[in-house]
Amino acid sequence: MRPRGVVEEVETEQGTREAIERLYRERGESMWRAILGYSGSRDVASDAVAEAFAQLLRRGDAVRDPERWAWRAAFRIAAGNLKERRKEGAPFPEPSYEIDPASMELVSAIANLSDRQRSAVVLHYIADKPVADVAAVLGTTTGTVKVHLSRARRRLREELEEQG
Amino acid sequence: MKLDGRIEDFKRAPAPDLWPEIERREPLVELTTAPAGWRRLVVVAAALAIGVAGVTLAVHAFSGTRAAVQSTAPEPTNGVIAYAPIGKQAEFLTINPDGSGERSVPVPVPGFVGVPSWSPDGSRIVFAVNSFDAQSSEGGNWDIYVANADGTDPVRLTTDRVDHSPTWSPDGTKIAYVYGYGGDQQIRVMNADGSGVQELTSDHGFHSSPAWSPGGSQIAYVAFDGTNSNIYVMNSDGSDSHQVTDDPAHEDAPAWSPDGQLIAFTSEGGSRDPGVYTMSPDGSGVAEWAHDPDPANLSIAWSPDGTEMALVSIRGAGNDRNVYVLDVASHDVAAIGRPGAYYGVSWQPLTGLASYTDPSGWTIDYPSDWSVTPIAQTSDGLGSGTSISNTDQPDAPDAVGLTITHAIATTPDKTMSSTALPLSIDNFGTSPGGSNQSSLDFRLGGIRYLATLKAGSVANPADIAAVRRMIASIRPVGIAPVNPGQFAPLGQPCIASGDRTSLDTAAAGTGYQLLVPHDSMADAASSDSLIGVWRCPGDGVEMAFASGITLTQEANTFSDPGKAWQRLADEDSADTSVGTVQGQPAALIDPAKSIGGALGSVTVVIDGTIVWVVGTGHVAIADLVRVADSLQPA
Repeated sequence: MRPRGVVEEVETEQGTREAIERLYRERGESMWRAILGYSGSRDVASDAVAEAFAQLLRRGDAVRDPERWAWRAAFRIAAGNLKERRKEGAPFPEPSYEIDPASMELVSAIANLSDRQRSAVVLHYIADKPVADVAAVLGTTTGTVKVHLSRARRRLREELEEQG
Repeated sequence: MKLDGRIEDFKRAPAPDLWPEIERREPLVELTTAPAGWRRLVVVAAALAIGVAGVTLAVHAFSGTRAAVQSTAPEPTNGVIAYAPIGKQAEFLTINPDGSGERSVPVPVPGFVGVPSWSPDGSRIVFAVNSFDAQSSEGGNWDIYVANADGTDPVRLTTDRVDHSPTWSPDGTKIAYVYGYGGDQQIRVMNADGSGVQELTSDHGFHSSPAWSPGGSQIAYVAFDGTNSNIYVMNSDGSDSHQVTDDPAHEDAPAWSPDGQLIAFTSEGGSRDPGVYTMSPDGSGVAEWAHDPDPANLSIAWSPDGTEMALVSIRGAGNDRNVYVLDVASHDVAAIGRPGAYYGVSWQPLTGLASYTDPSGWTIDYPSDWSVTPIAQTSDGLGSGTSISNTDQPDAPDAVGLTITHAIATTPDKTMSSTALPLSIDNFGTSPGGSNQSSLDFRLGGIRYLATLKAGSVANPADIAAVRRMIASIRPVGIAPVNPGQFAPLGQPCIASGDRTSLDTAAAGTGYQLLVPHDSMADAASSDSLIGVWRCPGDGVEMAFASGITLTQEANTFSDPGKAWQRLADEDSADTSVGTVQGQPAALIDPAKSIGGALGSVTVVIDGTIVWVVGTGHVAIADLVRVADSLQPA
């Protein structure tokens, strides 16, 4: 690795900023839905995604894999928010008029999963990330992710498809 | 409904556009701009606006056994931390080491300001500017500029395509920097005015991050061999270059400690934990100082006093890129700025302060562009004194506003750092009637000071540009005003016991000053503001003034039989409108001791202690100076 010089730093800063905005434009909505699925709250999703990208901007080119970093940050922030909200007695998931009933059922079903299963499900099924990427974001192995996914899928099926 | 169908529906749910919110949260911009008038100031400083009409010497000077007036050059102290906000045009940022006072310093240059470096006296700053010249295929043209500490008057020093990362030599005469781009970057050095460029490294390759040793004889730098970067040290003429780190980790950002004992650097990769490290300049004794699981340490600057380091780093719970301060003793790291895309950090040294030690034990430090000159013989014949003058531009219009920078006042039990600045100037006045005493009366923190000014010949008092102002003395004269015009005299008893009766010997003593409000002196027509009883809380001594007071050398007597100072007589009416004379007045007028004929001097004996009253013309009492308590009987 070559030492960073200010020349490269400033010039990459410009490019990095544009790249981060591009990343948001391409992946931000998907990330928002995934965090919505994970947290069951539009507010949590919006806050986590906005904060994750804002932090990404601050870090600039020091982040080697911005997308993975943003995902991790968004999950971390959402998990923190979620914890706070549950401590305060907020319902999980949070009902919202802005989410259609079918989606709300899905979110409610996801909410019954474990934290790891929720993360894996939203990354793989909602954000369409390959299992290897899911493992990278969650910092685990593909095998573990596959186990989480299959168990989660079984439980979601049971819950949603039995209801008709 | 099938799970997959629900998921597909969910993936079409509308999502909000969060980008405006993301940009709002990226906190880079809301810096307070420098207040008007800041242009003239060097960091935390105040312009003492002096409108001098006529100024003459009025040194409170004593000879003999008096505590010596000392002039010293103290160790450098810590000023502000400067850093570069990447992507922001034409500005750098400064912040106090405690995180307060964050401000944007505008610099009129055509581009982004890169890594800054303070001059050794803290008065100037050098940095590279990326003009992003459209003509350059490399995407930008980097040139080195030097500007005043407040960002004014930037001067371009280099014109080659890519010159950057400048750093000032400890003696202020040279600037080392990096020339080149991409894989071929060399360390160069030039005179501080941009002349005499020499290349110190010459082998093809990537050299960066020059850092002077405190003595200026060596330069540490980083060399990248294609796979790994290491720290090297060479003599400042480029000779004897040798590698001092040899580790698979990537070392960068060397910074020499002020005492020369350590080089701090960043390290990532290899076998080491990422973090901030130190080592001896020969590469031995590598020690980790600031570990962080996932840091990116970009820049290191030692505090001038060596007790702290400033870092631009990404660390901490928030994983924020920010300016951090590392405490050398504890290795604790604390964020002091607001997160942002910063690069480069330099800690302003405040050095070269002239130090004036008052006979009462106070010390005031002054900026390096002033000089402290012992006065061999004051015009009053009383002995030697001290003048502190702005030697930089004594006669230029700019000198009209004497600028006191980084004043530090020290008492035996209290130090006021420059953070107590700016000074507030309560009054500047000249005494009327041609008595030609001028003084600055200002407060620093809770302390009130009187600066007595001296000037050479002033043909036209209105021509202030021609006045060579000199500060003859600056003395703390009181603390914590009890009410307007009344200051407690530095916590000392007003009067100590003594038995001197002779002014001649008294003049050799040390003393303190009790100041009659200077603003009353400015009002020549009326000294009504002096009316009243002036009390010295230390031991209950009071001094009283009646209306219509005109202090002359003949007409005033003071007595203090009950340790209550009372003005006893008025020149004209001989009234005793305040208080009652008790006991035997023991005042002594000594015209010979008047200063330059302009000041009336009155000595008063109270309980055997001589008190010297300095009056100015017909206006008022300027000072009550206790002078005799340390003397032996004659």
